[in-house]
Amino acid sequence: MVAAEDMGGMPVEISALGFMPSENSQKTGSYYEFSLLLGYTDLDELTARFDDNWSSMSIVVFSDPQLELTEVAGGKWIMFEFNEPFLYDGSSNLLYELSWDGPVGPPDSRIYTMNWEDDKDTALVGFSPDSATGYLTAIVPNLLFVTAQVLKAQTFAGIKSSF
Amino acid sequence: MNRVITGLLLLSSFAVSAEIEIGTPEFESLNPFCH
Repeated sequence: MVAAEDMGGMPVEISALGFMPSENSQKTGSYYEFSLLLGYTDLDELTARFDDNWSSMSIVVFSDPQLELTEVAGGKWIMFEFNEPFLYDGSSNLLYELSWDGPVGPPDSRIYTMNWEDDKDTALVGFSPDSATGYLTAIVPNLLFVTAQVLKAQTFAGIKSSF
Repeated sequence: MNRVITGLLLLSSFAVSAEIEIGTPEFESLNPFCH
């Protein structure tokens, strides 16, 4: 979960989301049925049941039947380019969900990310794509959102007359 | 004297791109991608 105040407070189109691998991460990884979903939550802290955290329909912004990550390197963001931009409303807490099915076990799939510790439980982790519940934690990944704010400037025709 | 000045009609749109970074890298995850 990302609190609204951390998202900048204005509506933006989000076109990609990135995660920061650690220096010790393996350089490649493969994941089956990988998907990334975005939506909103009314909560300031997540509950242990996945479905109870969404306050809106979640949208699949990226999916890949077999995701292959290569050339992973510490300091270089792993970016997921969305199929369509996600229009963030500027005021809601943003909720994102990653899910995948193995193989996470092979050594070449051990990609580790950099994390930080929030002051409340803003992450929920389950150990299967089918998990209904998980364990709550304040340890959350570093993220990079690529956004665009679409602005429209308009000056309408004007008339000045003197007689 | 009759002076009429008609302004320009300007209609444009443009996008301002930005990156929003959440958190600072403090420690490595315990489990593969992402925890």
